[in-house]
Amino acid sequence: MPIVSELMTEDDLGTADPRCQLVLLLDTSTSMGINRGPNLPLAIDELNRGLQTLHTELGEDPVARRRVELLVVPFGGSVSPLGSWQMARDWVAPTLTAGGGTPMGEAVLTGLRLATERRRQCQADGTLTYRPWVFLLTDGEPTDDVTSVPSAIAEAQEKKRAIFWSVAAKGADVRVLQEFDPTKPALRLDEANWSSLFEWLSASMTQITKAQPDQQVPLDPWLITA
Amino acid sequence: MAHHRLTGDPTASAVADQAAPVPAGAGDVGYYAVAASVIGTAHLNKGTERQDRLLMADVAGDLVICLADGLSTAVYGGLGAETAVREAFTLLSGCGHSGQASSPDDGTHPDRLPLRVLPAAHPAVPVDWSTALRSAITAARSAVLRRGGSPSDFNTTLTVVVVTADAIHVAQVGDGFVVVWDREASDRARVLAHEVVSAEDDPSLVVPLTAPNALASMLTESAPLTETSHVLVSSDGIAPLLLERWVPLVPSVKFLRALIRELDTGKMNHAGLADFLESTLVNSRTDDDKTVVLARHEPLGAAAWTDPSPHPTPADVSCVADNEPFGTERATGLSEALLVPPNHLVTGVLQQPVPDEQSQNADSDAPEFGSHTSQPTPGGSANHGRGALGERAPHGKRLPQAEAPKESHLQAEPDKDVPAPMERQVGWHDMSGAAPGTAFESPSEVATVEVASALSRQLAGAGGSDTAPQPAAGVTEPSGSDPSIPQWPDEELSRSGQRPGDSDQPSEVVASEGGMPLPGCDGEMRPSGLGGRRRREEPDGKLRWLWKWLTRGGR
Repeated sequence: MPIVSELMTEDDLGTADPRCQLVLLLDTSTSMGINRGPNLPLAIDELNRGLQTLHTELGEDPVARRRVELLVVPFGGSVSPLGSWQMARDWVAPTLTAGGGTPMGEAVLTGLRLATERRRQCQADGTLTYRPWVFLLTDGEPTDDVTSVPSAIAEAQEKKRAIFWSVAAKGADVRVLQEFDPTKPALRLDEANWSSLFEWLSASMTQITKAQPDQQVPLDPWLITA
Repeated sequence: MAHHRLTGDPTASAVADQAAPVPAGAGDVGYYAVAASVIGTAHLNKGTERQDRLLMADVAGDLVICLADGLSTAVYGGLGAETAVREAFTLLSGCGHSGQASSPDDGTHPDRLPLRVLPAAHPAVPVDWSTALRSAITAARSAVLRRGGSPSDFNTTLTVVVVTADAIHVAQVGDGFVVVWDREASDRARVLAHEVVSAEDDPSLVVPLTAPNALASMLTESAPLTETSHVLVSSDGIAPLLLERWVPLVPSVKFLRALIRELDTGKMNHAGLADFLESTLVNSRTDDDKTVVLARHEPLGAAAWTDPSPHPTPADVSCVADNEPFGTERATGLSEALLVPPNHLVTGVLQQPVPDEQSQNADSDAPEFGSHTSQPTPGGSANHGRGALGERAPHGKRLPQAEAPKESHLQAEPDKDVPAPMERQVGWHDMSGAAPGTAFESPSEVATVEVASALSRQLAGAGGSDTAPQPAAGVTEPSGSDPSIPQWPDEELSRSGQRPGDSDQPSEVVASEGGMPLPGCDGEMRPSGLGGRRRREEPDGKLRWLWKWLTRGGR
């Protein structure tokens, strides 16, 4: 006797997967392309490899790949999102190049806005959403005005519109990042941990998408060492 | 209204042995129900157990379903769920009972057969199901709180459903799904008693059964059923497949149609449904536990009763392995229901000794408690479902002690570092020695009395007797939401789970085979309800039962 699973296809199923937005605010300023020493790869190359890792890791989880939505917002000279929101299963890791200043303040405000807008759009469509993640990675210090950033982050987190994370690669101004969000430490990224960072990011998103949308998920604390 | 009883597979030879032929006349309707509960891949990967719990059975012709989903964030979510479904099921299985319950016995494994519910030969007691369901949830909440420790450790949802001949009644705390639709117009599918609770920018907040506002957040709803209605009851594990939209809730018509297609063509049975829920197709969409009950509400005639074609044969469902480990990963269909026949107390949770068969036969209307040896229930744990079947004695007979199944999940101490969940004490619940007028201390017992009192009133109103028993003096029937429910945190509950006066003696899980019949049940009903004749119960006997049940605190 045929069992029911053999007679049903993906087209027979509903499509009410909850969604979790992930905004990647990635520093692509000139400093990311500077040679940091003998036998050390460029930071921008490490970043690109990390994005590939994220793509691979997320793609391997059947649930996360249907629930995580990504948007890459590089900031190097200007702030410009790469394309539109993509489901993890459809997302292709971009290859970024370094150049320009570090408009970090504008990038953070843009990321918070885009995450909030996307979440509201999903909710308007009747889709459940997890709290979006806005994930900032930089190796420098801001070259624009960042005075409004702390309050914007605080408001977004207090109103549960987004969760903000900042990661300081070598050369970053950790003090500034800490001022952005005093509620939790800025994460420090060691030279050898680029790949692990994105593995952790993927694992965190996977973990989140398997929880209730409002549930606080304890994350692997390995990186929270600052 | 037509009423129903569980008679098993119509192809079964035992059908011919039924004491009273089933009068499937015009207007009679019955059910064809399949059910399965499988573990989610997230729990598999973590090495944890399935936390969904399901009890489903025919109760005097009405289909009673109790489904709980232990929250994954709770340390003992599965235990909380198990406690909740058992408590709720115990209460509901005593409602409206006409003494005509039985379980199928066709010589095959009951797990392999769909649940077939057919009109009862005798009218059952009319029941205010809405009140009964609310009371069942109230009592279940109290039972979970009584487990001791931190209530949040046992967080669970609870959905209770009764499908009668012409209506469905639902009550729930949490986020289970009950969908009703018509096979002629499945685009009109409705989700009953469910709302997506939202805080600011935080959708889908789940209020667990143990939360202080659980009873206030309880949702109830009733809806009429037509002769072409279908019913789906599920935990939230299949929500991404079941729904097209969350807000407002919009069921996926294509998914429902696909299920209907398989159910209506007879291609789906318990094992088939479980296989589907475990399939890659489903697991690619959800990693949560998945529990589904699918029932077809259909008119019955002689043809439907005698035509065996829609029903799978045991060979067709051989994928159900009898020797599967006694585990908690998967449970299908009738297994749990049959292990807990509706005419028996679910004593695995109640921790109450039961009379042996001899004493039961000696005084079928008033079995005595407290003086008989308890025995483990073969497969008495709700979560052990299908795995328990391999250890179930044929025809419901007791297993020798040496072959007793593994320790009930309820008995197991999950983690020695954490206070053991409270085992209910015999003395606490055994009210047999209490004189009328003894005040009840347990919120659950008061809630139980509430159900029983409502029953007694309805019994009287149904013409069963002019002398309906009154609740014992000193028992205050709760009014309003439920003042008897302890506040959270309940200071009366010690970390050890002991209440003042509780015995230190641990209780046992006792056999359901010889369990105490519930009010309205025939005291001479054979333990397993398999085949054989059943004595028709007289109204007076029913009331006597009720009174004795009341004086025992509803146990």
